[in-house]
Amino acid sequence: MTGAGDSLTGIAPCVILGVAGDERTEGFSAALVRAGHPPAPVLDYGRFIEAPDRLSALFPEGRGLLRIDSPGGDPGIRRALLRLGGEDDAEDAGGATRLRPDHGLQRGLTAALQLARRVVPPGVALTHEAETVALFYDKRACHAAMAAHGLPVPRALPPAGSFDALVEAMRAAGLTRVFVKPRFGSGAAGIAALTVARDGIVADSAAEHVPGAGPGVLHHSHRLRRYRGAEAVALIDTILAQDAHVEQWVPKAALDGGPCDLRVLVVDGEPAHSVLRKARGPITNLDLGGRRGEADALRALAPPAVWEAMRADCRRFARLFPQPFHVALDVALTVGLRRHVFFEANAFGDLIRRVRHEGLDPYEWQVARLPGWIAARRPVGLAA
Amino acid sequence: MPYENLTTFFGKPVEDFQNGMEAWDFERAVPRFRVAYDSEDSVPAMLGSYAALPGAEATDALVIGYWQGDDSEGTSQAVVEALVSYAERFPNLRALFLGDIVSEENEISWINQSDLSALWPAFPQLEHMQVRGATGLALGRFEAPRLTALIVESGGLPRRVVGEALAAGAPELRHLELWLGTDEYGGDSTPADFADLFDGRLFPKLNTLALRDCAYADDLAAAVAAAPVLERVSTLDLSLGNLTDAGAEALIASPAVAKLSRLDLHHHFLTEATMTRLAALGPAVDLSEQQEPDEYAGEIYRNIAVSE
Repeated sequence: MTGAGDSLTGIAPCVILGVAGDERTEGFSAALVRAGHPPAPVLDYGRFIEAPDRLSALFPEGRGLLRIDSPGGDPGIRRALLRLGGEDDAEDAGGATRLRPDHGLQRGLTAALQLARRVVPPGVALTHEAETVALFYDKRACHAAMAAHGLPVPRALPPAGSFDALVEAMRAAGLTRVFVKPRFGSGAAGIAALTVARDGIVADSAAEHVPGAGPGVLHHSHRLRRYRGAEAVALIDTILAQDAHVEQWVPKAALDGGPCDLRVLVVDGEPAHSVLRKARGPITNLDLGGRRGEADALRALAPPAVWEAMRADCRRFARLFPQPFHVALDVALTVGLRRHVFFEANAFGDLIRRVRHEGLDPYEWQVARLPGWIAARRPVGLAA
Repeated sequence: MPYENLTTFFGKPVEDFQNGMEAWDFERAVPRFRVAYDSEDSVPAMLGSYAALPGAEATDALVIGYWQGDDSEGTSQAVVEALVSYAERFPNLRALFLGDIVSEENEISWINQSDLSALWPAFPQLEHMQVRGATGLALGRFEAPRLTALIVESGGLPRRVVGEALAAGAPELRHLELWLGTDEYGGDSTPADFADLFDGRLFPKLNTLALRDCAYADDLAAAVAAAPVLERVSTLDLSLGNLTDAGAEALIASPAVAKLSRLDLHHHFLTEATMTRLAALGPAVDLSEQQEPDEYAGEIYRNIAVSE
């Protein structure tokens, strides 16, 4: 990076609100150091919520950058966020793998980010704003926002409270295959790929009922399995009861013998790092057996205009939702390689391992882009 | 299991035909007709547009892909009817693939096929007929004087369809390939259903016998190993099934198997020792994709490659 002196004044001090010691905060801090900046102090969500002044105290000169990172899955942070969002602790029984209707967590995270905005001095730039994080975390709302802006997304079905209601909605829409996704959440936890055919019902999911936990409780098993018949119905009923977003299962293009999609990290409005996720079945997430691949392998197959249209829509997405410094989009080229379709947007999707863009890892790339991003957003008069 | 669409068919690249195209290079590429996830098109309508192109009579091969669209019960019947209605525009059709559909679009056992009887008289030049999916499928009683390859891929092939295939009036048939599947998806055939075939009474020019994805692969291997039909064929394909050492012993003991040029057993449950003996048998043997049995609730399961 050139002009380290200038950029240092632009982004120093850089503070991370996240989870101390996790791969994300360590990765970003290490990238700062490699670029000649001091490491970023990390304030844990839990400690921040306990005493919000701890955050403002980290910006003694009234300027700098607050990097908002994922709150992760730590139970202590989760409890603190739920309390902040007005949820009672008792709801949180059942261990780390239990799938919950996470509206409460979303409310807590929104409250935490609004609080952060309030307590840090106005001269501090935040990488994320509460409203956008909340939007991305709500799969139904995010889908609706993308659709409203004309971005290509699968057709959504109206909310259904039970398997039977869902089947009615599918019939009305002429669909036999849908994705059922918990409305709030990230990753593939609780997602099911459902087929309802004349002769049977099949659902692929990593969610499972655990003996003794009760019929309404699902756990994330971290392992995909195939449910059939009554088992599939029970699974879908439980996911729907916790509030779900249902959309058409759009056939993804295949590579190396299986369907694939892309995670595209858009930083400061431009597509940067991408990773291809290849699977044997409909769910491609890397933590559920999806295999990593080179995005260029898919690019080589696709007509150049199709690839460029996908990237142009990634940029358009970033222009429509400009607040977050970065966003990770899950996007597929469809069977036939003639179009693309967006599935999800992730506010904290920048942990992409072993992929470089112009020689830099995702954190290094962000560090390099931060000064320009801050300069472009800082209102006149607030310049340091 | 089919995860990827065809890239070539009948010796040419396959390319999607799209409504609105006003020309097609009939010499260069084979058209595939399928509807996209958000399309209002239908395969019959696209076939109509294609058939109306000047020069369409040069068409020698067609690929039909995903046809279901918004009709969740959609069978291939409307597609078959459209093909028959445009048959005069395709007098030189020699190859047809009905069901180039990958699992991302629809699992093989959910593909709703239909009665294909009317295709045979409409396309007497057919040499290669390939069908994916056996739900609702009927081949009918048919004469196909030029047919050299008949392939039916399924996760469960009803014995009724096996019977129709074996009763075909296809004196030129060289390649017979049936994916037998499991009884959970309607695959209710048994080795006895192949008695006439194994005895050598059918298809005098048969060269490749492929009885794949079989859930009773050991019994099938035992029945075919000593069968007169092996004197005729050079390739025996028992791949994708649940073959174990028991079935392999019958193959190893058969002088006719040793004289084959190719023996395809990939996707199997054989032991290393048996694989070594098979490899030394004589034919080129494909022993890839060795499988491990699944154990569930104390039961051992040896799954075939393609069922759902």
